[in-house]
Amino acid sequence: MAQNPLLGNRISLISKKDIRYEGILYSINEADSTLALQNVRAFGTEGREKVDSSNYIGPQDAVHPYLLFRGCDIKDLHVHESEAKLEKTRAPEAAHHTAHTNATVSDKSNTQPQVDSSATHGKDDTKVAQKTKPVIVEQGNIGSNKSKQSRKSIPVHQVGTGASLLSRKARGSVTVVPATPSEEFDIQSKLAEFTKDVPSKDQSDDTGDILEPSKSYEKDDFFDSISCDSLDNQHGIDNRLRGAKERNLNTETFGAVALNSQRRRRRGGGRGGRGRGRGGRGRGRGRNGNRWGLSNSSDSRPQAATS
Amino acid sequence: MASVSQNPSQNGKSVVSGTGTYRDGLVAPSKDTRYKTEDVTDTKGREFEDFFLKRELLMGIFEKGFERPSPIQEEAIPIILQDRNVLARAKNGTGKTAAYIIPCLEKTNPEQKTIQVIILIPTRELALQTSAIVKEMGKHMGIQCMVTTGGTSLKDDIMRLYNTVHIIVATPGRILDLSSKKVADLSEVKTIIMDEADKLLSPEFQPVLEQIINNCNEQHQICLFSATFPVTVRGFCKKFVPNPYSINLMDELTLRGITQFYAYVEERQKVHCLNTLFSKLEINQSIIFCNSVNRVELLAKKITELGYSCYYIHAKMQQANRNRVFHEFRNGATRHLVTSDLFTRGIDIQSVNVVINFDFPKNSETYLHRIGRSGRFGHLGLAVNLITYDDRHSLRRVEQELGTEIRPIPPVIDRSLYVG
Repeated sequence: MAQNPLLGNRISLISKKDIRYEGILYSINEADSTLALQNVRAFGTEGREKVDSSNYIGPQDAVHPYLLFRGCDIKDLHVHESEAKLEKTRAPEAAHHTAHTNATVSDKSNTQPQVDSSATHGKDDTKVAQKTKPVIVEQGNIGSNKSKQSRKSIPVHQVGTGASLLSRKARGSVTVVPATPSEEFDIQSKLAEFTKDVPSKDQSDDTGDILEPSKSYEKDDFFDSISCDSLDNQHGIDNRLRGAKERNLNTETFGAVALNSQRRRRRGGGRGGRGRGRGGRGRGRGRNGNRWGLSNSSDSRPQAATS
Repeated sequence: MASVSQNPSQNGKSVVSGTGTYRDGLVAPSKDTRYKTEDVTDTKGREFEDFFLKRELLMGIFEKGFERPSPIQEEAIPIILQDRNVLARAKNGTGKTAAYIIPCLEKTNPEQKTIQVIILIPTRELALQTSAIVKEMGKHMGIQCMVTTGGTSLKDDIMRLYNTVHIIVATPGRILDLSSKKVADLSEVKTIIMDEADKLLSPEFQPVLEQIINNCNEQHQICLFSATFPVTVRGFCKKFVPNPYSINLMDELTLRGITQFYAYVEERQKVHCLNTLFSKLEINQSIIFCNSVNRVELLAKKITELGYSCYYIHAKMQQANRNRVFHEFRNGATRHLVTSDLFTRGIDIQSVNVVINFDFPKNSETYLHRIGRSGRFGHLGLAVNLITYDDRHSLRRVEQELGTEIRPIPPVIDRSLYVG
């Protein structure tokens, strides 16, 4: 095991009191579960204290040379990617976004001279970022060539981060989406409503299918007959959740059917010079055609060889 | 593996010297001092040195931080070295991968410029993970390992094969493609490994597997590894794995180190309950399973809106994005990963201590593999299942078939159960 590759990276960390700290990861100590940051600034609660606004704590100007955090005090943690790492793992179509990782945040902390020249834009960055996602600013989209200048003020989150989904509208959402209550879910009293060991003979109150347990597993036999995908297939049971059944279930769980698919999604520039983002040129061209219209001439179909 | 709260040897990096063995000059990795269960410690007491492995291989094993062979490694390594066919069954995360990689590396002759070993893997991320271990363990041996999967450029793979490749780690579709195009010459392949063999032998893969095997050398050995071997693969084994040496180390199916709980919820309360679990549990890293791609995305968005950062992954994402998410989650870049059953098997991220079934899986096999994402290599872990009224029969069936108990979540969860 080599040295933790995250050491030296810029980290945003949210404490149990909802205060965000940002600094360079200096060390991680597994034995006493602590983590040390260097050159740390506290950004305060930044609106995360919404449950009780009396808990608001503002940002501090001081930069602490070194702060130690206990694992149990950390509510959330996010690593700002280093540029070198991004280069390596970046998807071809994302290569445009070569990110100055902490651009948005660093504008406030003034630790990144490279964005100073665009200080006003930087302010906008911060606002947008805070509106969409107060907690984590993944990366600013500060491009290095002209085509990106026009939309540098919109932060772009890499596909695969939860933050990248915030810009995707929910499809089929019901009008009144009940917000997740802020008080704790009472797990124990809910458990009291359920008894696991309903005798299987008592079919009168069972409306669902009774699933007969197979004789499962005996070591001597080597092969097992626990329920599995291939046995289910043989019995014509399709385990995939889809169609109307899925739509209904998703509506119940999430108040929506799905998120709009990526290919129809406006990637960043909608408000910019690109009409209203409904050009839909890439529509129906498969899910590889994201960033519609923006062809990178060298290799416009990086995924041609999907097998 | 590096992660949020692990402590690779940034302070105590020490170069071994004066032992008079192959270890001199190597950097000793930091020891993992967490408690381990008998799933990995109940051995006959062999050492890696007992297998008469090449010095360069022992160096790689040592640098990977492997101290002693786990039970499956102790059993499988000498048998695979004898060129026998093997059917090996051992629990999730008990060292199956190294149990075949070590003998494969040992058998490979770096002087011979042909493909000698193929390792077949059902999913792309798992193939990447496995090939990384082959490369690390074999780094002193001059062995060239190549990984080839769908979703990447075929052209690059063809270029790569102009150069010497000794070991190929592949998903079935791509290697069959390369082999039928005569780009990959499998005629000298004498060792075929099938990891997560039962998954590889699912109906859609099986004909592909048979063709790949037919393209290999007639004098091949074939070794199957998994934690689950359903009766449906018996036929294939009879036909393609004659006279196998069977190794079954599973007295029971579930891992000793994983404690399983359920919470009872209405479907519409799931997100609320999950939010509460986040605040109550000491999660080092967690993997959260949903039963469909749409649900993965919907949940990842909700979690983000609740103020937690997370990644998500599913099979409908572009491969480059999948790779990046896998890589970064492994490096501890976020605490939570929301996933479909794409990540159900084999994925080995040591710092995951909690698995949450946001949606209860439809069968016992899926359940077993999902909860095996925590409690890696005998460590402790927690599996929390959100159960709705509709899941009640599945819950009971999983318990009965796996011979395990899933208990109601207690008001206070003893942290010693899962925080190592």
